[in-house]
Amino acid sequence: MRTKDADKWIKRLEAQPSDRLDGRIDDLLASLPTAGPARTRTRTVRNQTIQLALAAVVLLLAVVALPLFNGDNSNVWAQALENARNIGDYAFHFTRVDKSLDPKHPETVAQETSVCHISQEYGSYTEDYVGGELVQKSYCIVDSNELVRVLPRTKQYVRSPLTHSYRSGNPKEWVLGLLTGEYSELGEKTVDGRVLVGIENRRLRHCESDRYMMHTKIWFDRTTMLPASIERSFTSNTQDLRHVTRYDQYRYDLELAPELFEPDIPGDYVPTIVGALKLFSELTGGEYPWSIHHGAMAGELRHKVGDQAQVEKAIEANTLAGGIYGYEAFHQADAFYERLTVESHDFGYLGNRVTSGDPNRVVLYWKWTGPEQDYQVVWGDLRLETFTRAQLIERARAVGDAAVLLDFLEKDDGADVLLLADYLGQIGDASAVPALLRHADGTGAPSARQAFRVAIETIRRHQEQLDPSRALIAGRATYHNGRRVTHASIDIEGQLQIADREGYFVMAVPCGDPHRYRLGRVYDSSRKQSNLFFWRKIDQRDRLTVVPDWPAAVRGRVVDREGKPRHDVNVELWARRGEQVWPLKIRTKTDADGRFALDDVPCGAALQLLLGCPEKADNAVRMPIGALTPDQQTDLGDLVLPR
Amino acid sequence: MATSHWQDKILASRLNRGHKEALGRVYARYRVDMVTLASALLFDKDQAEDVVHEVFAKLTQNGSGIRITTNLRGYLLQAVANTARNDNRSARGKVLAKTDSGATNLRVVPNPAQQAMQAEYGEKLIAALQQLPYDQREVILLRHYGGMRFKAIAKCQGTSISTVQGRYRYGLDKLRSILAGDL
Repeated sequence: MRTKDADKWIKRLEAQPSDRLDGRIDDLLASLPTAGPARTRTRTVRNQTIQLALAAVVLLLAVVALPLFNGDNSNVWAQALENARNIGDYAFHFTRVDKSLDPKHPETVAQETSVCHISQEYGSYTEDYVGGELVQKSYCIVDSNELVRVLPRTKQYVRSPLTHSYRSGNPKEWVLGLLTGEYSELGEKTVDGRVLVGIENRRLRHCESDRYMMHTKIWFDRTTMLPASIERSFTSNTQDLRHVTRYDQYRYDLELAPELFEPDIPGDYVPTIVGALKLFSELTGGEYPWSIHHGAMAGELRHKVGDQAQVEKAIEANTLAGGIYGYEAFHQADAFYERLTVESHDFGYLGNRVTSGDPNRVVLYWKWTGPEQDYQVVWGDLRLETFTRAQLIERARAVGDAAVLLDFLEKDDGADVLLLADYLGQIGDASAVPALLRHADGTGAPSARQAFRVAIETIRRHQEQLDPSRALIAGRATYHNGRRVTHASIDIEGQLQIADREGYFVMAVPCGDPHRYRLGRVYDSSRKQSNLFFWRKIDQRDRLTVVPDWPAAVRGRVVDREGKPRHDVNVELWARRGEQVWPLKIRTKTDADGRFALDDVPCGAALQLLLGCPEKADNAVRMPIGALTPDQQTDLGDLVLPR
Repeated sequence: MATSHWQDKILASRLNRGHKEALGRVYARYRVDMVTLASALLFDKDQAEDVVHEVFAKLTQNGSGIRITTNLRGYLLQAVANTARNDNRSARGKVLAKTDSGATNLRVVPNPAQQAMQAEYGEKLIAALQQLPYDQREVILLRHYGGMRFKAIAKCQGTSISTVQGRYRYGLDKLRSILAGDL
């Protein structure tokens, strides 16, 4: 194990409490009074200063407003205000109707009915019905500042922070607001034998570029002076639409159980992120986004589907029945993923390599913080399954999904690395090799290092069995002092591979004759350093270490036999080993004075200069110049090239 | 599902309101975590359990004085650390530091796949932790086992953040050097 992982191992400490302690705590709790505390409004106590200030304002308003009331009515509204303040837990129904104001199309646009329970302590719980069918359950949990929406139609759920608009959705607050502010009386009316007295208020509101009139009417039961019905309507100045919400069937003085306000999410419900992935894959013919960010997803969609209009059209055609529509689904997915990054330290999105046709590949997995939590796994066909960590690892091995195991290996605190290395070896995916090499270098235990080497060797054998004409080369690009070469490029006879951040790489190279040397070149683009190296399969070690070095420079002048400078002559560098030569693609031409200069000449191999006239390609002259040392400046003097 | 997070929030809010019956659920949920932290701090099973008992006794006596604004686990572990520190200070004058690791039931939970190797490493880790000075051990445990931030640890210990960071760095260096020496 790595000593530097000691801090991570501390998380795995455990000491089981004895039965004696359990018994002592049981005794302690049993000695408590059985009845719960009085329903004290701790929130009120907490905000005592604010409450006092509010009370002073209300008192002042009451003093100012009371003389304006007519005769007995002032007492009536004072009573209504007092009653509204004392409302505890209550429930009511409300109906939302969108009415068209266009005389040509006077129909109702949409209608929705809801039943809402409000607790002064726990928050609110609302059920929304459309056409008698339950379409949504909403839980506003004030203490955890969360809004949880459960969508039974699509079996999805959404968690989001509780915003101000949801906090203010409590009719009790509106009644208090209206009675302590400006209002006009509506008089009396009788409904179903009940005498109601009402007040109303009209207010012009601005919302972005739109202005709308908000009209609130509150009817109180004359006997109890508690709200019996509230009607709020919003009429837009720019749209022919009126939005009316009616709140009635109030039931007061309820004892609502706290369990009612705890979100009830059945086990087979999925987060809306799955809905967003489904929408994206339907629009793109089975692909999943590269990242879970609403802007990136929308941009990727435009790139894949076409222009904005085509995207809108495609989204409309693929709207999830009863679910969340279009870009809203992406926003919800974004919010969900953001929550994962904050609350879960164990999750991974691997959608960029999976399509909907890969039921055995993991798109997304996550685990919420907490020891008893299991992993939620979304597969390529978007089915959601729950696994323990061990089960998920076994399942990934069984279906050959190396990416998940690699993801675990990269994040692991040392507990499962050897098991993961073993499984990655069994799967035989070459992409796992750089990570295995990195872990082999990072571990301090020889047995663990050996286990990583065995896994790499297993992968090598597996890959070479699949394609015997290619050899798998794994290694690392480092500087002389052993430091990594980040993202070095390694080129072996035209096969190019970019190393990872730590300089580790793996590549498959054509290799028919194991005795034949291959020329390779390592290049560090950030420092403009490079080097040449030779590799052949027969003496392949377990890894290849390549070191880029400072380039050398070669200068000279090409003349003819009379000593006159030859201009426009091709000058090219080749590498040589024994009889074998390789072109290095480093070339220039002589100037009018016959001079040439080649910078960035890699070291590490014997070189030869090839001089030739463009018009006499067959008469090229090869001049060996040997191997150069790093940063060497070589002036070759006059080189004679006969005409 | 993220029920754990919700349950914590709901439990914390009930404790804040003075619902003492919620303490039973709190104990069932975090008994192992609390005893583990106390054991790792004090290296004495009986003393550790006394600390946990003391924490719960205070919670039951506190009337409506409980005020949990952070997460529930963090609050409880901080309470354990405070109580254990007081116990450690008061015991310092009377008894020499206990070094008998048999007096604690602390262990590192091994992975079934590499049980033998990890069990051995776990014992070394526990022995190394025991060799650390109390303040450094407390910072490391609160940071890694309790998941607390340096700012919170500094507030808990009544010192500055830089002192806490220094204790953390020295403690971790010492822990690593002890472990490297063992390996």
